[in-house]
Amino acid sequence: MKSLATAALLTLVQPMLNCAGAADAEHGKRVYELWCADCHAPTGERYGLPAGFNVLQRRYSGSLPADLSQRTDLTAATIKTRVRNGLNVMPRTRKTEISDAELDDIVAYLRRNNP
Amino acid sequence: MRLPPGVSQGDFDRSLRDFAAAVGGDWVFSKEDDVRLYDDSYTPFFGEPDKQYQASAAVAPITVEQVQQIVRIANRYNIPLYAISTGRNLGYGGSSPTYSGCLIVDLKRMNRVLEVNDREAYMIVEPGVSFIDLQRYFDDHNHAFLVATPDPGWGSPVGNALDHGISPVAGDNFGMVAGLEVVLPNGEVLRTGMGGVSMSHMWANYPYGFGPVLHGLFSQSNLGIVTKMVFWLVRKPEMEQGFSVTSYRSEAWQPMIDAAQQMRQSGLLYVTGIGSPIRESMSTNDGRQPYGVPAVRALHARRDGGSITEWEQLGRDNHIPVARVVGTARGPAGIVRATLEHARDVFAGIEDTELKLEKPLDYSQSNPYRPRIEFGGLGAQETSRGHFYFSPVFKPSVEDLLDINDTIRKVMLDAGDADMLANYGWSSGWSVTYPKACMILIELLIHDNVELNRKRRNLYVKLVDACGARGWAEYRAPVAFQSTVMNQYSFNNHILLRFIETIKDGIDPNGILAPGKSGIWPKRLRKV
Repeated sequence: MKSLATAALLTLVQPMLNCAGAADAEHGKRVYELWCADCHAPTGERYGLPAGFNVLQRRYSGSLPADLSQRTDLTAATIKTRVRNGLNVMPRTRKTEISDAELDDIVAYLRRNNP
Repeated sequence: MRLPPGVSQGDFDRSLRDFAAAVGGDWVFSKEDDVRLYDDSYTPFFGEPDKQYQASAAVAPITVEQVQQIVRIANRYNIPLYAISTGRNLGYGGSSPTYSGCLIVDLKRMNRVLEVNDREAYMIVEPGVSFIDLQRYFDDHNHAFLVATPDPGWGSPVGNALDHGISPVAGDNFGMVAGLEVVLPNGEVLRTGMGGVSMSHMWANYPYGFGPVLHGLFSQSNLGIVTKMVFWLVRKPEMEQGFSVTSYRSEAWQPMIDAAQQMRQSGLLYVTGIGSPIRESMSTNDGRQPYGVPAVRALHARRDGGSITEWEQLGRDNHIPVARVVGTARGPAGIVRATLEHARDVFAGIEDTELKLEKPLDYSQSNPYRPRIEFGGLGAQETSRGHFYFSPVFKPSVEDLLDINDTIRKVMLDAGDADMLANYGWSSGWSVTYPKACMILIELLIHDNVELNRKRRNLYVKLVDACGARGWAEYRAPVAFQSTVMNQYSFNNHILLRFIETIKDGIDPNGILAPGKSGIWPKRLRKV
């Protein structure tokens, strides 16, 4: 076994501080796909449609897309509140999981098509 | 801001400055909005904030040295710490501490896969790596191993194994652990097993080392903060295929179980399970979609629970068997096919049984155990507040299965809880994850109704007591009930707990690490 001291330390995707300060929608898409899409995209595998998509589909009855990535009306405040505090069965998300900078990136991604 | 009990505001403020100096100011969370993110999103005390377990602050180190510094600072100010890996211990408390006022040591940033050894099938990981992270890592680096994920996959292999978590991949996840690196309560770093040798050449290959085997001491305990874990890995098989065997005749049941277990004991099956389809047909066994036979519910609601003859008749009337076993083979396709042929021969020798094969899973096409964040299970529940688990273990035998269900059913009857009785009055639990133990996994749903939540918490305690009196103690417990569960381990005047407390007092004299975890309290907080 290689000594841990000399082993290449292979770092996973980790919460990054966005030093530049400008939100990055492309990175937001990747973070969204890692943390959010399993529940909010119409791709359920085990139980049919996943919970987030299913609930919104029932709530909007076609008046708004249930797939959050297709929405054009989400506000930054709504996205941030939901991610941090959760809603109903959706849990809270800590800053070590999605940093404030990454949350800004998610906002940029979900609002990319907003008028 | 909530203060740790017994700590002055001045000392707490000073400790936060010291923590910030150790890990950086961005990684100390003391604002109310940030600290509340560590509350249990699925607390059994919904609507009763004064009863919820809450942290005072959180700190997120990224290196072992930072963890050591945190522990030393905590000792200086008597700050109780509660370490979490990814903090997603669903049904058992999430990231919530066992003692309000603890400062959370959030290890999520320690998220490195340090080594994956393809030839020897092991890995060394840090606690912040999630099952999903690990799958991505395996994919990116072409490692052909399965990720031993529970459901959902947002949790940590380290945290899950430390809480004796289970998965359909490896079964007993802690059973795959070969070594730990631990920061002790005095800030020193210990490695277990062969990790104790200065040149830890064999750490991942031989778990025992020399002398007492220590790694179990750090699971479900508060004797150290685990910063690395060595896991043995399960190779991705070519295929797997399951089978079920059913019978309408109760006398066939135990021979069926024995046959399946013997195949497992011979290494032919990697998972087995037992059940009674007719008795379970009052619900889906998970409290989600009650269906089935009204007469079944009526029989469960009767004090005597029905006779063997009555259940057989009910089964025949409704075309639902009384007995079932399941088994799954995994490996090269030829071996799997041969195993299933052997199973056919074995069960053909038991009268009145029928064997059905499940659809084979071809791992070259898909991975059924790919970890995902998916709330389907939670989202399909009748409430939106989640659940907590009651999870005793029992023997894979007809006698034990019937007895534990009868015990649980009568507790629910006595409590007058018709809903629980209707959904969980009889369940076969999960497959035999452990080679010689089954597990009943009852979800106690959390509601908006505070009184109903209180009733369910009381029911939980009654279930623990009633099952404990018969020798079926829990394998794992939610934060709020860990002392209740530990109390069941009462042999020789609770010598098990007293022994752990002796160790606790010796290595953690200030009692700073996770007071109350698994019912283990430091001397200063121990109730006589």
